Amino acid sequence: MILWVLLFLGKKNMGKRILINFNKRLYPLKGIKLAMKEYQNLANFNLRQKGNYIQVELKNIDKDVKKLIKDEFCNYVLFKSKEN
Amino acid sequence: MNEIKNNTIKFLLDLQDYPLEAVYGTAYVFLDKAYLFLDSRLAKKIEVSLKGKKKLTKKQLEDLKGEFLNELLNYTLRVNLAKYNRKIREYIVGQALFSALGEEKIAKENEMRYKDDPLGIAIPWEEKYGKKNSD
Repeated sequence: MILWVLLFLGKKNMGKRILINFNKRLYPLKGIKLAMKEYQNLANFNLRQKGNYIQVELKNIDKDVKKLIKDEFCNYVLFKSKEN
Repeated sequence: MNEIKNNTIKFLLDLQDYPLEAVYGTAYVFLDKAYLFLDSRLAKKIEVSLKGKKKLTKKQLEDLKGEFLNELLNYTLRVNLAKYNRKIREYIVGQALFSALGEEKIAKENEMRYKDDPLGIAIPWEEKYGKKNSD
């Protein structure tokens, strides 16, 4: 029974993912990659190119930062893009 | 044209009015005041999303947009000034570096001339033309 509950919770958490589409003309790939590297201990990141956009998928997000991570990550990408 | 939803204000900027560099600069200034996101679905237009870091009223979001636009204007002026003054700035820096290099070089040359005496100025007349005088 406990195993079932754990499996259910695990699946439920895995299903929670965030997709962010960064416009290629505004966000350089280098900035996104640098930000991903810094945030890698807070979630699992997956990057793919989709037309004019670079799509970043966040999975297994740390529950403490679940509400904030999208906005903070976007700001950090902007910061890294300007810095480099 | 504003769109206010979920503690976020969205508006469009025309890249013919504001250079992209100025938009980036302004966004950078606002990183600690709000959450920013940029998108460009239309050519030469940028959609800016400003989301309050804490819950903001409609008025506060509009004020935030106003502040952003003011800063954008400031940045645009700075970018344009830097662009227009580029040649003269490069010339001044070039001159400054050249004169600094020149002084050093001249000092070196002066020192060398004094020691080397390539024209033989330091040699006394008698030593140089002594034999002719005795004839």
